[in-house]
Formats: sequence, C-alpha cells, structure tokens
Amino acid sequence: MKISIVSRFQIKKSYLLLLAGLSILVSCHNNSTLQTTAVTKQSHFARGFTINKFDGYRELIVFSPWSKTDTLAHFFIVRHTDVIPEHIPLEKVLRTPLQRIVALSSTQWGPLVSLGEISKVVAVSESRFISNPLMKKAVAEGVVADVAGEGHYNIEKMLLLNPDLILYSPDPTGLPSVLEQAAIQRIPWTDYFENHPLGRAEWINLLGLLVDKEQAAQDIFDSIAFAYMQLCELTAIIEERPSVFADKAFAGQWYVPGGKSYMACLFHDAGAEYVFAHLDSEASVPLDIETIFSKAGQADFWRIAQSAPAGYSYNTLKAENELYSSFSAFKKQQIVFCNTAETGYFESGALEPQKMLADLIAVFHPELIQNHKASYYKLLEP
Amino acid sequence: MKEPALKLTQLEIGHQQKAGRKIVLLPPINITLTEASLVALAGINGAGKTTFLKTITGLHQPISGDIELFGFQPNKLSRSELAKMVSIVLTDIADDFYLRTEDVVAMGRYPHLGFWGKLKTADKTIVEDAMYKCGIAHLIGRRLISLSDGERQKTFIAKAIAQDTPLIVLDEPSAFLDYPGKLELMTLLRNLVREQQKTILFSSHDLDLLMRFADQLWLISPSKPIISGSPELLASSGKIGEYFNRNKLAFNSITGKFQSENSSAQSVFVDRNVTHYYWVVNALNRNGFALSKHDTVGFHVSDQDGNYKLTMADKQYICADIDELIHQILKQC
Amino acid sequence: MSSIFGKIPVGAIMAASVVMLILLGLLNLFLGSVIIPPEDVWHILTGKTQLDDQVKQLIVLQYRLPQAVTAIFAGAGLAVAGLLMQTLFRNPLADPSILGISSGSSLGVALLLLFSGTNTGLFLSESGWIGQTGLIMSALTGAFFVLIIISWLSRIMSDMVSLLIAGIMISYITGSLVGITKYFSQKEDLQAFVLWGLGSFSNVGQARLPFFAIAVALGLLLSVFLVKPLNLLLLGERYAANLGVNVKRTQFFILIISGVLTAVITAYTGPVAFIGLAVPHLARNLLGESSHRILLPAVMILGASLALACNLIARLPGFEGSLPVNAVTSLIGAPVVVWFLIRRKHLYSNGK
Repeated sequence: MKISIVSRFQIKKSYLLLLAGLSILVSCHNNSTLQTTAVTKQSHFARGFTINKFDGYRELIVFSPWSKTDTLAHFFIVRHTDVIPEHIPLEKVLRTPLQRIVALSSTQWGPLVSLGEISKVVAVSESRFISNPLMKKAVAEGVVADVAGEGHYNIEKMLLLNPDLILYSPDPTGLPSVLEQAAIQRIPWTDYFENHPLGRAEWINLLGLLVDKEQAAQDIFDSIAFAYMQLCELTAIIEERPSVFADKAFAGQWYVPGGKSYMACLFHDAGAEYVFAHLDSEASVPLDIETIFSKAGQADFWRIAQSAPAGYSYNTLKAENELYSSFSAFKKQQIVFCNTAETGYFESGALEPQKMLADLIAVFHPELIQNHKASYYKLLEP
Repeated sequence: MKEPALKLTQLEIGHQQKAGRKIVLLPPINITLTEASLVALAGINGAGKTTFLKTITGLHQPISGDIELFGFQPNKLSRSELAKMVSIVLTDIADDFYLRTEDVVAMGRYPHLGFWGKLKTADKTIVEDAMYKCGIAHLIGRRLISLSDGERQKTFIAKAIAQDTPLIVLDEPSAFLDYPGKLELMTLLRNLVREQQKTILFSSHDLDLLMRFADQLWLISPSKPIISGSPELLASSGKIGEYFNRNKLAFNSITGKFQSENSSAQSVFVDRNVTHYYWVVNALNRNGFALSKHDTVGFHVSDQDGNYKLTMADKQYICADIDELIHQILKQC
Repeated sequence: MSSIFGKIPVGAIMAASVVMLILLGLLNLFLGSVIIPPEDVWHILTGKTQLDDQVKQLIVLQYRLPQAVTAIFAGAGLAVAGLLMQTLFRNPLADPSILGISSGSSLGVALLLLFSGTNTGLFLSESGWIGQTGLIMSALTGAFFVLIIISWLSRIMSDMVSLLIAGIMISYITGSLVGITKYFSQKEDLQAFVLWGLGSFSNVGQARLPFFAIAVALGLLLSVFLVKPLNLLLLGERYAANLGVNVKRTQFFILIISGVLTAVITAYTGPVAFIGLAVPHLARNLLGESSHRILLPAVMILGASLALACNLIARLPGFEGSLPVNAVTSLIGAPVVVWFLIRRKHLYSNGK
C-alpha cells in the first residue's frame, strides 16, 4: 500500500483513533493507555519512560525495568529560551537543545542521525563495529570520539570532551562508579527492555525532546507506527499461522525468546505461531535441547540472527551441530535469517520495526506482500 | 676364584654441581666386600654413609671411579638384573594409607614377576617366609600406617629378604628399633649371612652393636681413607678412636667404649678376677674414675670371697656389692 | 581379600560397580527432559522403530546416546588421569588439572573468543561453525602447549615436588592470562566462555564421538601398562628404582598419558571438575586397596558411573532446562568423599 507523504499528514488525526483501537485489538502484550488531551502525552507503547507535557517545560521520567516502584531518572526539560519555573528543583533541569551528547550505544545515536542531529553527538563506543556511513565518517574524521568498549569507560576522555549529557546502559547493581565520578548529567537508556517493537522505536521521542525536535521525532514515530499497524492489519485476520522458533544452542543451553518478548511479539504480528508463546517471560529462557527439539522439531520456520561477515549457509549451520539438520525447518529450507553484520541490525533495527515486520510477513505469508525488498530478514539461500 | 660381592676402585662419591664443580665427600675409596659376610659401615655423622650406600646401589651417580657388583658393572646391567642383585632398606617413610604389610613385602618380588606383577604360589611362600623370619607374620592384614616404627622397619627388611638378592644394603636399620629389637635384627642379619650366604652391608651409629655382631667394620672419615677390619682389630689398634675421636671423647680400647677424657680423674686398678668385673668397671667409669693398667695407684679393688676388697694406701674396706664399693670410694675422695 | 567394608570381598564390589554402570547408562537413555515412554526407547534402541517416531528417535539416538557414551569415556579418562597424578606426586590432593593443562585449554578458548570477537568482528557466540570445531581445536592447542612446557620442565627439574609447584605456577599464569582476555571480551563472548567452562557432555555429538572415544580409550589402555611401576612408586622413588623401575622414564610416561587424557577430554567437554580428584579416593576407600592392578579398572568404572550419574541429574530435573555438569559433580561428589575420609580414620587404630 502506498500512501503519499502529503496525504499521510492529512489523515493523521483521523487515524489516531483508529490506531488506538487497533493497537488494543491487534497488537500484543502492551499495557499502554491512550490519552488524547493535548496537555499531557504518554507513551503509547514504550513503558520505560514517560514524558509529561506542561506549559513551557516537559517532565521526563525513566522507569526502572527491575522494580515497579523505582525510577532511574527524573528530569525537567526546559528550553534555553524559556524561563525555568520556580517550583522546579534546579539540579533536575536540563536545558535544551543539548549540544554535546555522549551516546554509548548505537540505538542512542541512531535516531539522532535520523533526526539530522548527528552534530550533537560527541562520543560513541566501540566505533570499529559501526556500519552507519555517516557516523563512520564522523569518527574517522575525529569529529566523534570513541570513549568506551568491552564494558570499560574511558572516563578521562569523556571528561575532556566536556559533554552536557551522557546516555548509558544501566545495570541492576546501580550506576557504574566511573560514571558517578563524571558528575555530568546522565540519562539511562533501557530501550532494550521494551517488549513491543513500537515501544523500542518510540524512544526516538526522548531524543527528539533532548535536541528540541519534538515534533520531528513524533512525526517519524507516527509514520513508523502507522506503517507497523497497517502491516498488523494484514495479518490480523489470518487463520493459518505457520509455526516458528528462534536462536541456537551453545554449550548445551539453548536460550529461546520468552513468550512475552520482543521477538515473540514480532512473530505474532507477522502472522506466525511462536512455538514457545506459552513461556511467561519477557526475557530469554534457557531450555534443554531435548525439550526444544520435541516442541520445535516440526516447526515450519526457524529465525536466526547473527553476525556472519563471511556469509552463512545451511552447511555452516549443520557443521555447528548435527542435530540442527534434523529440524523440519532446516529440511524444508525455511530458515529466516538476518545477517547482523550486513544489515546493521543492532544500529537501525530498533528504529525500523515496520521493516522487520514487513520482512517477516513476506516470509511467512508471501501472498500478502508482493515485490518486497528485504531489509533485515529473508529466507536463507540454500 | 669367586668375585667379591662388591669391589670399589678409586671411587669418589659426592655431589656433582652445575658448572663442573663437584663436592667429594670422602677420599678415593678402594675396598672389597667379601661374599657371605656381615659388614658394618661406620663413621661420624655427615661423613657420607648414606651417600656411600646410595652410590653403590645405583641410586646415586659416583663422581668417578669403578664399582663392581659380583664382577658386573652396575651401569652395564639392566635395571631388572640390578634389582635381582642388590636390595636396600632405607629410612624412607611410605605414607600410603591402604598398603598392607604383605603388599609391601610382596613388592620385593616384583623384579622376579611378569608384566602384571601377579604373584605365583612360590612367590607367596617366599613372602610369607620373609615375614616369618622378621617376626612380623602376625601383622599380615594390617595396614602400614597402623604399625609402630619398628614394625614398619621390619616390614621393609622383610621386603628386602623377599627380593632374594645376594647383596642386601641397609641404611641405619636399627634406628627405629628398641633394644631387644636391635638385637633381634642383628641376629636375623647374621643368620641370613650364615645360613643363606647373603652378603649384608649396613650402616649404623650404634657402635656397641657393631662391635658385637659385625664380621667387618668399614670406617670412613672425610680426612682419612676408608679402612676395614674386624671390630676387635680396629678397636685394639686404636683405629676406632682415630676415626671417631672428638673433643672431650676418647675411645678406650680396653673397655671398648668412648669415654670423656679426664686427665685429672682418679685412677683405680681392678683385679680381673673380681665378681662382675665388667659392671664394676662400668660403675667406676660412670662415676668419673679412670681405669688404670697398673697396680701402683691409690685405689685397688680385688676379690675377697666373692666380696669386694677396697685397698687404699693404709686402709682396707670390704664391700658386699658394687653400690657399696662405689659409695666407699667416693667417701675417700 | 576384604575391602573397607570388612567382610565384602573386592570382587563383589567390582561386580556391583559394573552393574551400577550399566544401570546408569540405561537410565541416561531412558530419562531426559522430555518424557519418552520406556517401551519406545527400547524399540528405538533395538532398531524396531515406527516411522512417525522421528523426533523421539532423534532424541534418543542422536542426543542421549552420544551424551552417555561421552560421559562414560570422559568419566573414566578423568578418573584415571587423577589417579596417575596422585600416584606420581604422592599427593592426595592432586587432580588432572594440577599441572595447568585444563587451564591451558581455557586459555586457548579465551584467546579464540578474544580474537574472533575483536579482530574479525566474528563473535563466537554468534559465529557458527567456528563455534564447535574451533573451540575444540583451540582448547586442544592450549592444553598441549602447557603439556609441552610441563614435559620439558620435568626433564630439567630435579624432583617431582618442584615440578608440582611449577605446574601450579603455570596454572596461575594461564589463569591470569584468561582473566585478561575475559576483561577485553564482549559480553556475549564472556557468557559463551562461562557456559563452556561449566562443562557439558552434549557437545561431542555423533560425528565427533568416534575420534574422542578412540583417543580416550588409547590413553586408558596405555595407563594399564604402567600397573607395576605405579605400584612401586607408592613406596617412593628410591625403593622403586631399587626394584627395577626406570623412575625418570616412568614419571615422564605418567605425565604424558595423564596430560593427553586431560587435554583431550577438556577440549571436548570443557573443564569438568572434581571427578579426577574424587574418584581415586572413592575407589581406594571402597576397595581398601592401593594396588593399581585393582584401582585402575575400578576408577574407570567408578569414574564413568559418576559422570553418568551427574549427567543424569544435570539434565533430568523435571524442568525443561538443564544444570551445568560441573555444579552437579562438585555438589554430589564432595560430600561423598568427605564421608569416606571420615570413615577411614579407623585405619589408624586397628588397621584392618
């Protein structure tokens, strides 16, 4: 379905209600509430943060994924050009637009690139694995620095850059002490805990707020959400769902996505039946190979995502473990493969759930989408 | 002419250090060990007795010189042949928990056994025999760690016997034994020599024992060449004193004992025919008196109808027993 | 000849052990995280299968059976390696890893993880065939590297105690090198390394099994040739030499055989703890024997049984996941050994 840019804006408001209705009906496992008042705005899909809109400022709360009651961060965002209201504690204020952001993970700077704000990024981590051409160039030219890798932070380098914000991945034990020493404003980034694909994508709104491009971010998100929902519509009425399972074993343990996980949601929305949907977990669950084989041995499709710069094939898979070749999905050559090295899965995947969904639908139900060009997933060539 | 059990020619024993340095413990050794004899190796502590024994049994490399075992050179023999030629008893401790006495003794048969080390009936008989000879037959089934030191020592001696070698070498075998045990051991060794024509070489500190039982003594010293001879010859010729003398100790060739030298000690002459002459001398020595060869000294002890007559310049005393005699002499000093 | 239980002869205990081994082997085939009715398992094993039982057949023949066979060989091999080490060093605390050989294989794996991750962008946890074969090859390389160093050291060192200390130092060095490589590894590869280090009998698989089994069997066979000198070494080097043993050469062979067994097994199963240390003690305690003529077959059977038992417990639970083998071997084995050690103090007194 092709809709022109102009008409998309025009029909946006009327589809908002439709989105709300569909989202409850069609999409999976989201506990969002929808408010249409103009004063406050709550996330539709993302549970990890919330942005409350007030006159002249915004309130940003980042929730803890490990405890229902804790919050990881609480800020008040005020534009440089605006006055700080008196009742707001000064230490919690962030003036926007921020100019010097340290973005340690690719899902943090990726949306900034999409917003055209790559210049606001001063530092990233593990730059040698970056595939985005714009960022690669920036790093190569020295415009963006590399300040972290393999779990270590180069705190001195970070401080030298004089950033005004650090985005980082938190862990349950609390803030890494090195960052505490930095005494610079920090925002924890927990997008990977979102179990809904749109929830993950919606974090672009947080970034938009930080660089004073709220509307642009919202627009991007809305178009993603819209496309995603439309695809969900396609599969909503499907009755015949092929079965699918995911990932591989290592050292006798096979971690499968939980029944309430991101992958499970994608599978469901793509019109497939996830073999382990009954597992009541958002995280991955380790299972014994026997169990997996007995439950997924006859499944139709097998989703595998891994880095394979040298390419990948059925033979490669078989060489890893003979048992793999006995899976029905293998024999029928129905492996849904994403080469993370080539597709930039980790950099752009979070922001393009609609493309991933489209890829999956094209595999599971090819009759629904014609002439589809795969961005992430496609059937592994025999 | 039969080959001697052991023939050592210009043998230098010691330790070879790196860079060609060597530590030689004794002057070059030239000596022969005749078959079917019980020979004791004696010397002061640290002289090199243990190194000597280890060298001649092939456990330690000599610095230079020749060793001949029953006419053969040890380094030309296979290990198995050597194992059937000489057996050793050391002061090593085997600390395994589960070995039984008969297991240890049975290992003495290993050089004679096949690949798996399985004992035939004849071997088992030899093992039992050896244990019986050593007086430990009643310890069959007991674990090594539950034995007393003496019992353990006997077990290893039984092993050497079971090994059935013409030459047996023992390092301080009487070390852990009580006095009767020491005597038993010496008797056993002597019997092995007499009845089975074994050649036995052992080292010991226990001079009293050596003098009584050994056919030959080998005396070693870092500064003098090794000499051999019968105990009596070496004692009476003063050689023992030469090789063993230390400050304040001298070997008394009459009594055959080491005594503290005390030139100012009071001399006493004792008639040879007094009752328990040996013990009278012992008591006098112990109380610090020197035994005189001559009659013309202050104190004279002689026999009087089974009692002791103590004669001094002008007095005479009759004592019924040794204690009284000593008491009397001390009173006069 | 009576054993530690007093009246029960050694032969009876050995026979009972063999029976237990067979039983455990069968249990490993019949039980698993998926419930397969015994009749079906039996049919699969005897070759009378129905065509629609593909899944079950696969589980039994391609998953459970290779695992059981791997456990048997690995258990027997590690137990023998442990016994050899304990006799060589006359130290009851010695085990196959004491000379740093399994540390060496850890180092090989850690280096593979490090280089595959950072140099080529190939993360082992995601990477594919390098995953299994590469792991085995790198583990073998690391282990043999250490074994060569140890062999060379054994030539130039004057006595076994010095070699033991050198081996422990090598363990420390490789251990710290592993730590450094871990420090620079990706999170995912760290997890992969940890998983490897937990030990598993399921990595061998049907295709690799023959090579593994033959290599281990060779090591076991060679160890049997050392029965006599091993016994004599119990008395100490000097007595052993006097009784005809070429002590230096024997020590070298013991080192090599134990080292190769350990290297091969660790490469295929990861470092499995405890079996090498505990089983010789168990065997000695159970049989009241020190003679290697009895101990060698005994530790093979007991080692295989223990490995099977631990594998069973690790996979069985009744929940759909599985426990790491190392955790089970230690949890079960340690208390048993302690119990036996307490029991044997009566050897000091009445000595029977």
